[in-house]
Amino acid sequence: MLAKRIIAVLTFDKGILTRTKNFIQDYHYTKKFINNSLFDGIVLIDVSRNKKQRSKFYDVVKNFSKNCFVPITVGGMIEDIQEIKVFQSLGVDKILINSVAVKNEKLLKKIIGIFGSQFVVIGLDVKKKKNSYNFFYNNGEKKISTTVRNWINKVKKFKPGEILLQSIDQDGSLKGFDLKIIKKVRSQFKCPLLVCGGGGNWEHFVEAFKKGKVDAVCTNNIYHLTYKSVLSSKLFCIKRNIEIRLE
Amino acid sequence: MIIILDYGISNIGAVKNALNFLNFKSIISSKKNEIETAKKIIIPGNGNFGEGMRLLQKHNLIEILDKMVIEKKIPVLGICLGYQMMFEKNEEDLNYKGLGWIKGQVKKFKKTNKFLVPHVGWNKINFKKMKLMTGIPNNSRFYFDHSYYTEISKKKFKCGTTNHGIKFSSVYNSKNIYGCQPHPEKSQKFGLQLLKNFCELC
Repeated sequence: MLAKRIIAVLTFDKGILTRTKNFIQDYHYTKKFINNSLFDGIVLIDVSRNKKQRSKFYDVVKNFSKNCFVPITVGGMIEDIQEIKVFQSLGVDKILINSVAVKNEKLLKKIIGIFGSQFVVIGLDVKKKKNSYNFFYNNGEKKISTTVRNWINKVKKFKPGEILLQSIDQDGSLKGFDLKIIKKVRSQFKCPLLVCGGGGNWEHFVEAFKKGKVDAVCTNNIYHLTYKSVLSSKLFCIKRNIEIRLE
Repeated sequence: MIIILDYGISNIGAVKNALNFLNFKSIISSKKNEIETAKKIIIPGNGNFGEGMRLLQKHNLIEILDKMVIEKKIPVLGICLGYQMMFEKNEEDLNYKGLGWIKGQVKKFKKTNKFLVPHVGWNKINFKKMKLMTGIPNNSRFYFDHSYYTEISKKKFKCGTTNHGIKFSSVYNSKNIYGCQPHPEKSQKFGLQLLKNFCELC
């Protein structure tokens, strides 16, 4: 059986690792914190507001991938095929797409046609308003005008390799994952589901795996990024009968 | 020299990084004169089958690959799509023929609630003694990322298997031809060990 995964999501602003809260930048940290050997994957996202200093993100990716032998996904402002090839030459394994799915369907279809479904993770950034949800793009700034159900149906048609569901409300809150929207999205997709936003303790991870039936839990909490932390989260999950990779 | 074949759509950088880390000299190439000098060839993979075969044709790589692998018997390792392209045909795109080095075909996984497609993540490989798996404990986990699986028709080969609703050949060897469905360059220490084995022992 496939093991459940624990994945680190790291956001960079002009090449500097940052932490976000509700998708707004919080503190600046150093990437030296991170030990990637026990993580089951790493997601690197460029959250800079424009591409003026994109080369700094390339440097980050290059340095990361030199010594990282777990899958690396990159995201943020990916909108041309030539750049995807640059990322591949730097050591990247797959890409995270969100805005392109809204703005340029044709390009997304072309990317999937060339690199295959398994290469593309589609991001769903969700925000709650009273009791209803809406999906967002452009770093959480713009609302996708259609309903949750319609957007999910549309995304399904792209045949993505995986879905990364991020809760903008829970981001940085440490209050746990939003299981309601997770369950809703889970029931709609037969590809792996990754969730991010709100994981504050290991019980939250277990909840997402057991109740949310997710395939991977992502964390961007700086305190979760050390070897000791990842190991402790994995041992906790194993005790709760979740299948996890330890080496 | 180890050649990492560049046909335009693979995670060549990741394979190169792994070989650098292991201190094996390699070059990324799509040039005939460089491939001709290869002691070993790695065909990485990450992409659509039809697109992969189209690009091999476009860059005139099929002839030189056949010469190196079939005539000269140079050890070759296909990874993921690189492995799948070694087969005769592939359901992902029936307009293109595969390289045909391995008798058999590549089929699409059936989606169920228990076995999601694509098959993404860390899964176990069950194997008996294989050169490629030297020093790796049986049932170690490797990183997989694919929607299609290989089905071998010939019997004379060694292989390791993985189960994802169906049991398929996840590592393969017959003579100088080696295949690996998961990504060893992304499978931490066991993956690195597999690459080391290919570079040193095969």
